[in-house]
Amino acid sequence: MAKPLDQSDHRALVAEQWHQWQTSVRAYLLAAVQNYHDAEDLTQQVAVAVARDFEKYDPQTPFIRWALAIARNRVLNYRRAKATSKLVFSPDTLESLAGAMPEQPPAQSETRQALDRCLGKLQDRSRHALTLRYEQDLKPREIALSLGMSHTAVTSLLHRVHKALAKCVKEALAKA
Amino acid sequence: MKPLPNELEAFFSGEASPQQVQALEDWINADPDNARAFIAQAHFRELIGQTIRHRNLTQQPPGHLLHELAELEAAASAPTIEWVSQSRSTGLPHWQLWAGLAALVMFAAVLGLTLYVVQGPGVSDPYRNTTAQHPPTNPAPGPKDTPTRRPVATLTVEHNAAWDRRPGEELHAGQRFTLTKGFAEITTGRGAVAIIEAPATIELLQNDNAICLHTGKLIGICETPSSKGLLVRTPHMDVTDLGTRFGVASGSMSGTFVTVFDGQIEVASPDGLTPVRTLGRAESIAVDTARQETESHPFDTTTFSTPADMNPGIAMASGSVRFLFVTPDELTQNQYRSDSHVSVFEELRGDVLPGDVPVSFVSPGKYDRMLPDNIEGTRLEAGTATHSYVIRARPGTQDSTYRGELTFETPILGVMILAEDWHAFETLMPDRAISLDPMPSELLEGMDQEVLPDASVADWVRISEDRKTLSFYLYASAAKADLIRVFVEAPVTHEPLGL
Repeated sequence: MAKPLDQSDHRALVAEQWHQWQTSVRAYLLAAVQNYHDAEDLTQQVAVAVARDFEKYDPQTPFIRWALAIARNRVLNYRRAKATSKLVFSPDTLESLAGAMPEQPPAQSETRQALDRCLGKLQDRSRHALTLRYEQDLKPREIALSLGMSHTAVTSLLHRVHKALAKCVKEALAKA
Repeated sequence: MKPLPNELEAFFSGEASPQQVQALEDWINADPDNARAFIAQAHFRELIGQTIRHRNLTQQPPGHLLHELAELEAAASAPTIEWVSQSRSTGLPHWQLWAGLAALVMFAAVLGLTLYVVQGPGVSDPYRNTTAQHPPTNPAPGPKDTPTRRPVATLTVEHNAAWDRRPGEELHAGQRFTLTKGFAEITTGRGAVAIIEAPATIELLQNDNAICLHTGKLIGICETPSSKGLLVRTPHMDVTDLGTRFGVASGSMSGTFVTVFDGQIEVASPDGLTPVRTLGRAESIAVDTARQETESHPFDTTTFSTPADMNPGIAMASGSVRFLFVTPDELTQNQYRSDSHVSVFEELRGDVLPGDVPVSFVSPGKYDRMLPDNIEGTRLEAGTATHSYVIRARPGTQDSTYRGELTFETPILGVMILAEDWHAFETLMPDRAISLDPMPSELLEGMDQEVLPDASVADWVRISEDRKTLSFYLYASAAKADLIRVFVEAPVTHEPLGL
C-alpha cells in the first residue's frame, strides 16, 4: 500500500497535476458553455476548488477525472444561473465528454509551437478574424460588422481557417 | 455518424441554435469516438486562443503605447488589458491601432475626466454601486489620488510564481492579472502589503491603496500609518483595513470569506446596501454570491498559510518551513500537523516586554545539549521592543525529523526552548503569547532536554555569526510537539500595533 502523502506533498502533487491539465479542463468547459469568458471564469472557479479541496483528491485515481467532476458541477450551477438549458449540453452529454478526455495530458508545447508557426502563415484578414474571435470573444455576427463582411462569409472564413490550421499543425507535428 | 462541421462551427462560435445543439448531443452520445473528436476540437480551439493571445502579447510593438492604451482604458473604466494568459489586446493592424489610439486618447480623456468628476477621487468600481456606497472609516484614497497614468503598487516578492512579472516592477491602475501558480507579494503605494496566493485574479484600482480580488486568496498586512485603510474589493464584499492583518478568500461561486488575524477591519457589501460591520481579532465572516451572510464561520488560519519568506520580518527561509498567521489560542487546537514541514507563527510584533524574559540561547553557535546546565540562560530586559516567532514541529502521522533555516531581517535577541520559560512568558504576556496548553493526548516540549543515546536524533539549533539566521534540526514523535520561540529585534519601520 502506498505511503499516504502529507499535506504539503499532497498540495504540491495537485498543483503539478493542475498545471498539466488546466488546458484540458478549460477545453472541457469551453465545450460545455460555448463562451470563452464564461469558460475562463469557470476555469478559475475550478482552480480555486482544486486548490481548496486538494486533500480530497485521491492520488491513486486519474487527476483529470477528479477535476472534471468539479468542473461538471460548476457547469450545472452555471446552467441554473444562466437558465440557458437549451443551449448547453445535458448532464448525460457532459458525462460522455468527461469520459472522452484522454488519460494522459496532451503534449501542448509542441502543438502550440506548431500552431504559432501555422498562424504566421495565415493571411492578415484570417488572422484578424481569429483575433477578434479568440481574443476579443466576438461572435461571427459581431466580427462581420467589424470587418464589413456578411455573417455567412465570416462563418465560412472561420471554418476554412480552422480546417487549414488543423491540417497545418498535423503536418508540422508529423514532420517533427 | 459523420462529423457535423456546421454544427461544430456554430457551437464553438457561440451561435448554435437549440436544434444544432441537440444534433451535436445526439452525435456525441452516439459513439465514444465522436465524444473524443468533440473534445479534441474543443482542445484545439482552446490552444488556438492561447496561442493567439500569447502572440499578440509578445509581438505587439510599441510596448509603451500599449501601456498607455491599457491605462487610458482603465481610466475610462473600459475593459482592461490582462497581462497573462487571458490577456486581451486590440488585435488591430498597426495603422488602425495608431488611428484608434488617437481617437481613444481624446475619448478616454473626456470620459475619464467625466468619471472622475462623477465619482470623486475614488477607485474604479467593478462591483460597486457608487450611489449607495458607505464611506469607510479610513478611506483609502487620499487627496492626491486621481485617475492618472501612474503606478499604484509594486510587485515586491514572488515565490514560485507562474507569470511574466518581475519583483520591483511597477504596477498600474487598471492592470488585471492572473497568478496561476505560487505566491506574489504586492506593496501598494501607501505601503500596505498584499500576499496573493494562486490561483487568483486581481485588478489594481485607481488609487494607491486598493485591490480588487476577483478570485483567489489575499492576505492584507497594514503596519504603518500610511498603509492603514487598504481596501480589498471582491464581487461580494468590501473589506477595509483599520490597521491589521487579515485574509480574504473570494470565489465566483462560493462567495467571500474574511478572517481577521489581528486588529480590526470593516466589511460592507460593494453596493452599500448592508450596514458596515466591524470585525476584530479572530473573527470571521462569510457571504455567498448573493452577498448574503452565511452561517457563522469559524476563525480559519489554515486557509492562509504562506511560504515563510513571504512574510514581514523573515528575509529568507529554506528547508521544511511553512508560515501561518494565527492567534495565540489557535495553537491549542491540535492543528497544523505535518510530517514534512514545521509551522512558523508570528507572535509579538514590536511589542515592548513588560518584564524580564528568560531565554536559553543568545550567542552565535550550535546548541545540541539541552540539559539545563548546558543552556546559556540569560534574560531579555523589560522594555525591550521585540518581534517573536514560534517554530513548531508537530508530526501528523509518524515520527519525523525536520531541518530548516530561517533568516530574519533583524538580529536574534534570544531563543527560548524550556517549557518552564514558556509558561512564565505566558503569565507575563497572557494576551500576546501563544499558549502551550496541550491537548490531553499530546505532550508539548521545547526541545529534548536530555542527552539521547542516539545523537543522530537529538535536536539542535544554531545561531549564525551575524545572529540573523537560526538553523534547526528537530526530531519529534507523533505524540509530542517540539517548540522553539525566537525573539528578534523589532524592525524600526514596524510600528507596535498594541492591539
